[in-house]
Amino acid sequence: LPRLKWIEICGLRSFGIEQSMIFDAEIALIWGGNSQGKTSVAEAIEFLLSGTVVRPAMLGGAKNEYDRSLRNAYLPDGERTAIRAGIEDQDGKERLVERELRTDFGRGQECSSFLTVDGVEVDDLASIGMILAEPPLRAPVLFQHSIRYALSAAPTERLTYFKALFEIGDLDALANALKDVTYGLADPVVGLEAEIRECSSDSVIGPLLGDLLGGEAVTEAALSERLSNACRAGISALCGKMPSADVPLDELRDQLHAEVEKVQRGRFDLTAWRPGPAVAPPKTAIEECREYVEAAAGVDREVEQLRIVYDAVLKVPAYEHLEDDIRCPVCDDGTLTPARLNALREEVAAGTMLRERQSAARRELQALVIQLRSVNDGATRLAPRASLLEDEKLAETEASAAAVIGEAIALSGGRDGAREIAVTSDTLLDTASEALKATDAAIEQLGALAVFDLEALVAALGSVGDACQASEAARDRYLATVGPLLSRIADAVNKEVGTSTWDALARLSESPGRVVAELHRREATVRAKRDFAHAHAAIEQAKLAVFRKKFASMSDEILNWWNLLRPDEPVVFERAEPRAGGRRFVDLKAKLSAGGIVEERDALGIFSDSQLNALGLAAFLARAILQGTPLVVLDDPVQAGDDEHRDTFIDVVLPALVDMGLQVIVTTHDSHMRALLNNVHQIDGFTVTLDEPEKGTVVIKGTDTAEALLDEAKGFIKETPSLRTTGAQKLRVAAERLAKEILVQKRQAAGERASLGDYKKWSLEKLGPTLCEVLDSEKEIGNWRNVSPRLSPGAHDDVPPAKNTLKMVRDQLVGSHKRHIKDPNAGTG
Amino acid sequence: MTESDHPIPNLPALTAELPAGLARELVDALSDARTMDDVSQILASKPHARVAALEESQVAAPEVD
Repeated sequence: LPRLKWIEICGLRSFGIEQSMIFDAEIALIWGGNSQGKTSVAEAIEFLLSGTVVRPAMLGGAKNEYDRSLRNAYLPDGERTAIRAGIEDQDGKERLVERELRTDFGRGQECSSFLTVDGVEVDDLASIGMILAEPPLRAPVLFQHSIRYALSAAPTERLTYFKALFEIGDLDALANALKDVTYGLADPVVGLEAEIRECSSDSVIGPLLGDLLGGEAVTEAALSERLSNACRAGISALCGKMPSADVPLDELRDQLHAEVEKVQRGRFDLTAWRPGPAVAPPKTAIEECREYVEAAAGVDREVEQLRIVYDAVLKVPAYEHLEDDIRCPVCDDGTLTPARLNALREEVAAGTMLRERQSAARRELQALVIQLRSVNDGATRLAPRASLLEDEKLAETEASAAAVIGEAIALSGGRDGAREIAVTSDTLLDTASEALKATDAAIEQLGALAVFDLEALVAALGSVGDACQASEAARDRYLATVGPLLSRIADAVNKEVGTSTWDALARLSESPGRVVAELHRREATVRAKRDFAHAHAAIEQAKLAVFRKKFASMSDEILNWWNLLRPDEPVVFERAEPRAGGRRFVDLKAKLSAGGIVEERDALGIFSDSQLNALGLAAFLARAILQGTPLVVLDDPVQAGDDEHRDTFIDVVLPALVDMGLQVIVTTHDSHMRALLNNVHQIDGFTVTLDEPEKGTVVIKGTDTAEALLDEAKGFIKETPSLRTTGAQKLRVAAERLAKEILVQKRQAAGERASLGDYKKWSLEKLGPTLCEVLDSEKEIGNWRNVSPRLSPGAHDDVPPAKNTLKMVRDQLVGSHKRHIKDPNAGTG
Repeated sequence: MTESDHPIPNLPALTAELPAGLARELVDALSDARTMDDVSQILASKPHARVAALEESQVAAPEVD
């Protein structure tokens, strides 16, 4: 884990000039009297880590009451308010971290600062393993003003404190994303759904078709049979004749269509406005033809080469004047006739697989012929008959349409569109005709194993493709123009003549395969939506389980620290729990058990002040541990006078934290805690003192040194008798410690081995005379001889030494300390 | 606030709570995601794949005549 190795504090709160502390031990103790700068040390670490202090958020009041509260009031202009520290990162490398105050709290605004690691500006210290918690208590520093935040806040605000411990915002995001996906899955739409519904609602056709939209898996064959039955019923209803059962669906559909149109034409001839289907260009690639042409060209080249050989052989004298027949390897009759050349070509062709390529190319060209004829046929049907309407007929048609839909309409635009289709279809006919000619020519050449003009064929097919595109575009434009109007007319006609259902049935019967495919897709979509909804519900449920486990883990950790802090109590913290299974409230439950009766209550309602303090500390420690905090700073963690729990804190809690690898920094004004900590743990001790506010807090290494003890006694040299009694006691302890330090120093200077332990249990009455034996200054010897009598109670035990007496003794002791310990080389003075 | 680089740090904990099924398959498919955009894209592709698979199974399944 990262560790805070040292810190330098300049100009922050009570600190003026730079003061430093080096942390070698796992526990550091910073001791000092009230208002000497202990909390300023904790706030300096908080500021270093988080860039702010929580005092304004915790203590409340108006924001502007904290204006200019970070920078030391006596700091001269130009002096920086900054914290420097050495932090050992996760890799064991010491990193120089510095945060300088840029602007103090002011006019109700937050402070701002500048943070660097090894001189490089950073936003936070996450890169070196110093992870912060959620606001407002971000840094792992516990103050008196924050110790009860988690308890005193409203349950919803309390959630914020613990939030990171059971944070599942990522799972919320996942569940929401899945929900979006599930609901974003388009509702299943079947292209012919309207037709299916129309037919299904018909009392005659509905039962014949079955419940197609009800999720039943139906095959194309089954649907075709149902449609055939329905078409027969339709034809029978329209013309009174029932077709036989062996008529295929295609014919039934066309027959039905024809009957429907016959009925409709009596009202309006929609067929005149229907364009033929879009014409697709030939799909056949001409790869085989290309291979053939390349091979045939190769054969021609080879034959040419053989002809040269043949000529040369005939010119050989031995062959030129032969009297008898011989079997010539090149020829049989001695002449190079076209027939012979063809024979040679055949021979060569046999050796180059030309025949196979010829067959493949022939198949390809024959397929092309069929497709081009199809294009030709399609082109002839493409243009609606309305393209031929003269103006007079057009006017009659418009009147007829108006009568059907009940409003005047213009169809001249539609006729123009139809004529545009007619023009493109003529072009298409021409290009298809040209392509057929090129194909026929190729087939003829192919038959003679000759090379044909492949590029001409390719060009002709390209023209057909272009013409198909142009005609389709014209068709699309036409339908976009008149399609909606024709649909209205068709609906009105159907309604008027009662052919809607039959019309819908005819459309359904055009492609049973498409209907089945769309029904499959519809059903698959419905099932997918249902599956995803179930998956979303499963994730929500699992998310809640994760939350509960995290919450239980947090509750267990708080309980663990509570049990360490407050063992064996009749009223105990029991658990933290989300209220009523929700995630917005955190309840803290306590258990009372006595006389065999166990009751549960809210902890806040029944805990004593001391218990609440312990619960706040337990919550803070649980949060720190679960978040993997490497360092905790505890500012006066145990209430003054809470001796029992102070011992538990020192003997149980601190070792547990150290065992977990945490670095612990404790500040306290409690002399007993200072003494006990020194006895029980290996610590780095520091004393903070603020003698001259304009110079700021001074840090003294050690907490039980004579200097620290003398400083501690200073606060008790007052007029109040009870304080003076304490002051005298503290000066006695300080004098004993100082005498020991001087004795050790003198002996060590003389080359002896000496330690403070040599004077264990020596009282001032014994130490004073012993010290006087090694001192040089008569004046100082006199002072030391008077220390014990002046600090001892007088004849009346209830009368403490006078304030001036105490002050005089302290000044004399401070002088001795300076002369022998602090500054021994400055002269005897 | 986690050391995990995954956009959904709690994914392993969630996986542990999920029985086999579509939800588990979806969560497993997110293991290689690096950003929330990745998560969205992976999830967005799933419903259509599911529809296609169901369609295919319908076609392949014994049909009702």
